[in-house]
Amino acid sequence: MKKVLALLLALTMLMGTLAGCGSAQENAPANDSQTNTEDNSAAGDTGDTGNTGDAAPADEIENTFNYEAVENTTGEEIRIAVLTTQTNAFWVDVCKGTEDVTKFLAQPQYNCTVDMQTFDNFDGQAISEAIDTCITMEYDAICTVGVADSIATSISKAVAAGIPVYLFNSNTGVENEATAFVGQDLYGAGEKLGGILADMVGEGGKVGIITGLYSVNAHELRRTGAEKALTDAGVEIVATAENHDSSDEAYSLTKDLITANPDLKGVLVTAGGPEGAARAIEEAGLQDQISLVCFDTTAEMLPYIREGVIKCTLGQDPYGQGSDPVILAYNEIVTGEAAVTGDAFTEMTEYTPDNINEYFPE
Amino acid sequence: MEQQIIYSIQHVTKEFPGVKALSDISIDVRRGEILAVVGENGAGKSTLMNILSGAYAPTSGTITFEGQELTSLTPERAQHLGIAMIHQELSLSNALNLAENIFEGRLPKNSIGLVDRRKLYQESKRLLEEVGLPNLDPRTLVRDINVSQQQMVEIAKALSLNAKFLILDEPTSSLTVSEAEYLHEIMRRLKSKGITMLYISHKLDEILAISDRIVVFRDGRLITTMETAATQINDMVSSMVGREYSAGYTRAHYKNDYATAEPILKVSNLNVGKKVKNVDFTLYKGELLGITGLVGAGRSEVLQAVFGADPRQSGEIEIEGQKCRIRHPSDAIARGLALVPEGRKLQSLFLKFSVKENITLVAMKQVLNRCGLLKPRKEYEFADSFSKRLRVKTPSLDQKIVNLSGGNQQKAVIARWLANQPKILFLDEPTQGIDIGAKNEIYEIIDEMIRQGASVIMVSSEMQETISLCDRVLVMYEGEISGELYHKDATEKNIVTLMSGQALPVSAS
Amino acid sequence: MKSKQEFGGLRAFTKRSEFSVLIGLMVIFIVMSFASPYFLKLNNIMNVLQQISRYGIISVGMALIMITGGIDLSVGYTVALSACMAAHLTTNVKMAWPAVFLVVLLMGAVIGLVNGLLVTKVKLWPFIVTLATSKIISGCVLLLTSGMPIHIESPLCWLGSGYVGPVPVSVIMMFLVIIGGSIFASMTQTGRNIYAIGNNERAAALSGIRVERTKTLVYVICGILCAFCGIVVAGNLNSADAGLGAGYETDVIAAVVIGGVSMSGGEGSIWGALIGAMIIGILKNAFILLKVSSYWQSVVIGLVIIAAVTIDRIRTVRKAK
Repeated sequence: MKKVLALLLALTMLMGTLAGCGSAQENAPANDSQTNTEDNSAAGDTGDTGNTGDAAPADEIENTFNYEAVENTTGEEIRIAVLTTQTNAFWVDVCKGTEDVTKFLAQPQYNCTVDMQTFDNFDGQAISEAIDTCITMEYDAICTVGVADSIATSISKAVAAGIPVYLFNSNTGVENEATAFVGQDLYGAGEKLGGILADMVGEGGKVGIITGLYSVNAHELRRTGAEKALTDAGVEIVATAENHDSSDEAYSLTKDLITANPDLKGVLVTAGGPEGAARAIEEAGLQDQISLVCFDTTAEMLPYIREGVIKCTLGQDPYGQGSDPVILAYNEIVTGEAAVTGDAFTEMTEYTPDNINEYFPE
Repeated sequence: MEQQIIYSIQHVTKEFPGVKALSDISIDVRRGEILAVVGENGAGKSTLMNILSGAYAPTSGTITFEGQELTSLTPERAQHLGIAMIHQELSLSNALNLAENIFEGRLPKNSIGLVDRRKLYQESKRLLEEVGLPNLDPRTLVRDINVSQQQMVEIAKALSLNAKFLILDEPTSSLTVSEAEYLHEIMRRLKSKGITMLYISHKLDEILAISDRIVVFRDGRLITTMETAATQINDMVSSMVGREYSAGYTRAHYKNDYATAEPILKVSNLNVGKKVKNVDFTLYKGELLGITGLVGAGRSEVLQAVFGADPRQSGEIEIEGQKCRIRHPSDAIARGLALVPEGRKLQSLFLKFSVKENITLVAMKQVLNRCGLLKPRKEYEFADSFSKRLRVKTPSLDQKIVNLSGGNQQKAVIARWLANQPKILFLDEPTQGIDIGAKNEIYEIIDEMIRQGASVIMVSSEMQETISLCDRVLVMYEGEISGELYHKDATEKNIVTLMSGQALPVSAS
Repeated sequence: MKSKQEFGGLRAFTKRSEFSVLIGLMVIFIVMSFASPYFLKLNNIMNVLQQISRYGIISVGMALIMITGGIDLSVGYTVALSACMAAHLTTNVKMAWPAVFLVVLLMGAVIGLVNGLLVTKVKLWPFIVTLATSKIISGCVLLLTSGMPIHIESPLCWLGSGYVGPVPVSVIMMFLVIIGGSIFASMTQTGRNIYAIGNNERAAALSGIRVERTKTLVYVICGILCAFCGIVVAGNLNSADAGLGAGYETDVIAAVVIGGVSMSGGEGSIWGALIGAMIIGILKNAFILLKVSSYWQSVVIGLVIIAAVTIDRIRTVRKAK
């Protein structure tokens, strides 16, 4: 009997812990909205934004997003699920966007709870299952990264159950029934970056392409777009390889590229980990010979941009990717209409060593 | 001279769930004596040994060693105090060599702290010579020597520990007469150095030869203590079984119609590596053929090779006049053969199975229905009938076989083969480590099988058993058959002569 | 001493290792029912069962292998290769679905055969063998797909995404496989032989059991089950890519061990493996329902495995005394 009791006890403690973790997260937004209610009424009474006495945040939360949110006229709480990945530093900005929009929509005039679930890899099956569970949990809308084609079936199930789905950052290769995709115009971005590199390298120059994963549609679109632009400009692509978003792999691949092609003129990285490529180029002392171009502006990349090892990087507004789909989804629930459908491409800022300090002052 | 008490247990009781293994035992062991412990299986001897060596704790009662009361004794602590136990079931590590086993945990180190291999092998060689294994290289792996030799290594290990109090649990169960005598010599040597020994054995004649006193157990109780000098075998046995007992087992009928006998198994030109050389023999229908010899003579290897369990370099096998190809035990079984191997823990017991499952494994087809699925009730009844026939003592057939005593385990294994109704049964040391009562039961079983038409080959190291049971005896020496004796000529003297590779005197009668 | 007929008595049942795991499952079930209002919804239960069916099917094969004392680390990649092969044959080669079914299962059997022969004939350790074959298979998947996902539309998809009433077909398949596996293991000669081999290989050989053939057989069975699972998975997602099946071996081995199969072989039951799979499946479901981050998930699963194996150890040691 003892062993049975021991197992019982262990598992009960375990489940209690889990339940505790879960409810802790649930409690936080609830508290915030309560505080806001009190403060708003206080502000209303005195007729201005100043507070009388009690220290409280008081101010409404600013809309730092690309879309306005309508007031919640449904009279009910709206619940939105966000499924996001956290494979590297890029996602920190995305999650920040999601966290901010969570606080924003928690305000009483919006009355919306946003639950973020993170995954540590691009596992289509896991996200597919999570979508199924979200359907069971009767969320009003689901925002998710379009990690792989395998989630298309679950998206259809959600839509069939009356739950709109928004994709961000990556879109599936096959057609899906999501309302909109908030992310970079991936093919267009690839073309643009390819064109930029072609200008730097010139006709007949040799470049290597380092792509994240062949199985991720987003990476593929960028790669093929870049390839087209480069080939059209007469640039020679000596090699293409996967680095699985890892900077270590990018480092090794770049070193190999340099060894195999001493007259290499350029490297294009389609996804995460370009700082690894930058490090390899810097170590070889070839930053003047080799132009490195890539995407995004993570903290690890900034020094290399400032030093000029990375010649150009295209942004995709990660913050917007984390927040905009949520607002769009929220709006659709309240108004019953989707203001934006199909592709909602985010801004594509060009960051270079010359302008980087304007956006990211040291 | 005042006799000192080295180990005293007072009013010790040991209970397991559902079983009272020992009731109120009190023994005072005198320093320097050889005290024999006898009793049938299940009488409590092993439990007593385990308590004395620290493997079990008594449920109640006290144990005192050299004047110090021992509470919460563990095997490690016991070893420190100078108590060493040589188990019946060997505890050597198969994958290590002899030296590493002897000095397990105490490998000699040099000044830097690394193992001093030279010293290790030197010391081991010396100890191996002391236990009569001068030709064994200490670097041999344990799994490459046979069970009997392994037991010698166990003893060498205990010797190396220079224990004050040695517990020997059936140490000669795998030894031949001469090796047993050698062990006794070593024991006498140790006794003269003041070492006390506790000797458990079923071999009553040995006990008379070696011990000073005898304690008899029955059903967990201490029945009587005897001075060896004043004891006879029948006295011991009567106390053990609680009823009058007359010595020796005789069969009603020994085969003597060899002139017209029909051969059922014929083996020619058997060669197994270096262990068996050019062996030819015939087994006649309805015969109990014994194969005996010294440890390492190749007896078990013959049986296992014919059974298809081990590869052989050459050898033709004819069963009932037909040539057979036996490459694997399943071939042999299909031809009506059965093998009860020696060393049941390693070679025949499925310890995680129940008694029932152990019995029905080979003959399982008989308890399956037409679709090949098991009929649980039928399996139970099937196992039950054989278990009862062989008088296997177990609280229930679903009991895990590991909880049974050695004798009952062996009976279950024999039951497994009987259930398959073999024509030819090979028995390899069938009564190894089994008490008198159970031994007799097994002899009866064998006898009955012969009466019912089976033919049996029995490998045995026990002289008495071989002489009293077999219709015919083949003696092996160093891989070859050195001689053949019919029952009437199978005397101890003749057998020992052939065992040592000598020829029989011309006028053998 | 009277002998009691004890097969199947309640007392005997409570002594089995599966009983304590079953208690654990019930505890988790009860706690979850209180912790989340969504847990007991029919929808959710069916989802969870469907998610479990993936490793539930494979765990039958893995349990049989582990009972013989072996292990198979290539299950995950075999699932991936099978899924991708099924999709490839259907979409690119345009083979008829019955042929696809047979070819994929055959492929699984061949993989199992290779594993089995390497273990029995070449006598390599199962751990190393299956680790190596898993690498080879993962390479084959990439060669086949070039890393791209393959879409699949076929009647075979019914196995993965079809429903019979409210019950997903894959769940029914899982129960069929479990029942079949359980009958095989406990009520046939071969099943008994498998346990015997895990118990004492030498004694098994001496009892006439063809040890090498039986050991190879369990690997083949596992291979076929993995192939079947691959078809189910591809059918469920209507897509197959190289990333499928990642980490399956960990979940399957955990389920089997939690369910009472000992790493040393010779004991354990198929139903136990199912209970273990359910525990893991419900825990994973709990993570989403209770919004626990993915980082904690791995930690918790690891802890549960340690707990289960420790309890198994305690029970074994107690038995020995």
